[in-house]
Amino acid sequence: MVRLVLLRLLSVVPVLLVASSAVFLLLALVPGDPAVTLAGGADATPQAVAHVRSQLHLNDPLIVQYGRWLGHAAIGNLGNSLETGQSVARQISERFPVTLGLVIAAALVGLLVGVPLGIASGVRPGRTVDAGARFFSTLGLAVPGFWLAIILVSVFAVHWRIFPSSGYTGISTSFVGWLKCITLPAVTLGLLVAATLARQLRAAVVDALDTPYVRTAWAKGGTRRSVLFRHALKNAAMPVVTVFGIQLGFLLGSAVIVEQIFSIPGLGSYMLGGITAHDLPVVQGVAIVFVVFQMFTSLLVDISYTWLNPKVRVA
Amino acid sequence: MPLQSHAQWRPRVATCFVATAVLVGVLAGCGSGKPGSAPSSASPSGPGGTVSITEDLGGTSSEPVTFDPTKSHVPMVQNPWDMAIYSTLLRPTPSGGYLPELATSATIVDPRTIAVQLRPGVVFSDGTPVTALAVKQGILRNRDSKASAFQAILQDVSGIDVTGDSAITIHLSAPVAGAFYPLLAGEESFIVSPAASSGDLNNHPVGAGPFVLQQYVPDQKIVLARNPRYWDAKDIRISELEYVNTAPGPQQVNALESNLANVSQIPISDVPAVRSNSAYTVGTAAAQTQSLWMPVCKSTAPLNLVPVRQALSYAIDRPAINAAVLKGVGEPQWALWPQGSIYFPAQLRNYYAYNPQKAQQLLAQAGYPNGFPLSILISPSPVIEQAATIIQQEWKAIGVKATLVTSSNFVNDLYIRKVAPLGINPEVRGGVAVLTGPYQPGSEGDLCNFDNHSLDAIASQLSSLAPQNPKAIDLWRQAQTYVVQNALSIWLEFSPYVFASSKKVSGVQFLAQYALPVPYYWSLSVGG
Repeated sequence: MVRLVLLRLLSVVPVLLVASSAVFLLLALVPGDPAVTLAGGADATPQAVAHVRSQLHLNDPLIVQYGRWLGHAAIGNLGNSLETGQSVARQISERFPVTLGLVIAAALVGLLVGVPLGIASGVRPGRTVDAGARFFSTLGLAVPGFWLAIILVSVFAVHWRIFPSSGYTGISTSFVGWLKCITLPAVTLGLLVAATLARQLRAAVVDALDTPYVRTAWAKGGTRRSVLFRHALKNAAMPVVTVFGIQLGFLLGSAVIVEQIFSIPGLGSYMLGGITAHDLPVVQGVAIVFVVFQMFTSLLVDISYTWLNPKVRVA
Repeated sequence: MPLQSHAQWRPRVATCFVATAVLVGVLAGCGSGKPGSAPSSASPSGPGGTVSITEDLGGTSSEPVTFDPTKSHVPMVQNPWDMAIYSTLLRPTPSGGYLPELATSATIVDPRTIAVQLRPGVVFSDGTPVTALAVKQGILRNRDSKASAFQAILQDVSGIDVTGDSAITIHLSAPVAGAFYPLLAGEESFIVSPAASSGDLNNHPVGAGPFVLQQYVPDQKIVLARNPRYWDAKDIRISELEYVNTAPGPQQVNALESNLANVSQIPISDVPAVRSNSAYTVGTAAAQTQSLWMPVCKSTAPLNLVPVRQALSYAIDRPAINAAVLKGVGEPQWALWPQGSIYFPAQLRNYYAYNPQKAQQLLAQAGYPNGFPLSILISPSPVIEQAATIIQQEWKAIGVKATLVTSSNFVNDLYIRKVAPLGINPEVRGGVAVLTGPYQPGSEGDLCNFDNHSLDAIASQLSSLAPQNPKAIDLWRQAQTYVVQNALSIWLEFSPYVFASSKKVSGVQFLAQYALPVPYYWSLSVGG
């Protein structure tokens, strides 16, 4: 297990290098010059633009700029925002918990809705519950997140006024306040995860219940609970866990839009602001966090395999 | 193989659903509880009540909040709350004029000198007096910070003399007193209490404005309370002013309708829907400086020909664009300043009224009877895209085949890369920059380096005159007549800030001369 973790942690390094260089180069290819914006836009004098470019070393070759950024990043310094001058690492450290809270809440919604639905559907394929669950999951996959957000806000914030339409309260400030603010965004994100999980789990449960070992478990006099939860579901969970791991990364990406819709001050809105302002250090810093997060969730998925399937442990 | 006894699974499945439903119910129960009840933030709180205004505090579209004027990077985006805390020497009015505020008068003595008479007896919110020395130190503090939020002309302050207990004289290194004058009503004259300036202004700002900072929750809200020491406190009729973080767009309307805020700027596309709701009042802040217009590169054919530019101007139906795109809240633009401005020359009203026949005649006269192809650079904004599509159709009718080129970086693509010979620009400019920005070399905004010595001379004279000076008014009219008759740009619409407010709030007006609209605090009241 330790070896597995160490190997996976080591593999993060080359992936980070590739990801950071790719983000850096892609952003460099995007048309636009942050120096013009920083110097005052259309009112800027050419001298002011040149001064800003020189001050920010934007005239250096790309490889030199990337090397400088990498050197600083290696010691935890992700640079300062071109637009505000604030430390990117500090901003990320303040905003990451906000996004993480949203992702966890959305994942919980996904699990709480998707898993029961998938099981209910899988144990009775072709029945009414199954048809209802499949309808829900198809709908969940088809409905765009931003549209769902608008509908949820219209119903629960504008019409019924149960939840705020936007805004954020830190969990340390008020747990209830946080719960109020995070519910609609978490449901927006979580329902898509739920739909995906429900579909995956349904198929996996149907397959698992049709296997010889389940038949053997029945023959041995196993109870319904033990047959389903101890035998069928544990094996059926393998593909679901994989999909769930991927979905966590998806949640982080989707948070960019949802945070904007609900005015949540997390990494997503920070990233969006950075892209709008051509703020390279901000975009680069957040992208790296996204990559690390995705790799960390992959590692957790791999570790969970060893618990779910002893064969993986032996291998 | 499906489980055989389905009926026995039903209770467990049902339990799962019930548990989920209960959890959702619990989450919902954490709301305000009673359906239909309003969140407390926008409710009146005691005498005066609270006005809650939506604002993008997350820095997504502007920059993060700061309460120290010298820490701002983007011009005018901190004004809504900083102006409430610090106030200015002159008070800007919604109609674009100036009233006495911390200063009772400001006089341009000569093009390099402004004399300012301060209001006696004014104190900062910490009780220390606003002396001439404090004002001098405040302006110099701003100048010396070289913060990019301040206009460059602030650096022309060469010295400030304290000429009495309540009088200062500002000396300028260039003859730009006229251009400097509006800064007396801008963030350049936010005066910080000298006693507090060395402290943590970002957490404990001390100014002489109508409000004091009561609470700031980063990325969430700013709560300002009425400053009882403010010299004109009797005219502040609300007890609290709250800025609630809301991203621009439909979220602003949602915030209003969910009672998260009771005043909000709203997108133009939502104007008809909000207007139809009798619970809200829709208003506009006539922006003298925010307009849709088309900068034109005048150095290459065929746009180097005056008749061609005039033809393109005649071929635009501005009232139609106003009705279709701006939902009727805009104002067709005939010159650099709107019709309500003292600078607007009456003879230019309807100068380029829609006349496709005349446009075709002018094209034929210029040697383009069958029109020509050209590209229009636009930014990806619904308003601009809709306006561009209408213009594209109208120009097609006179033979001009326009191709719309969308740019995610308009300034860079138009003014520096010159991807297209003209574009549609949502401009925010004020003062002499209205003239110098697009028509005088020295800034990126002068597309293709247009230069005209007559206009340069007028701009130079305007820089030395007070905005209300009759000579300045005459010069503005001369300049606009030249600019319009030669179609140096193509103007479309003045686009106002549109806001909606709950009927409980009255006197909602905004100062539209800043990058973000600033509430006119002196007219706001709740329940009145």
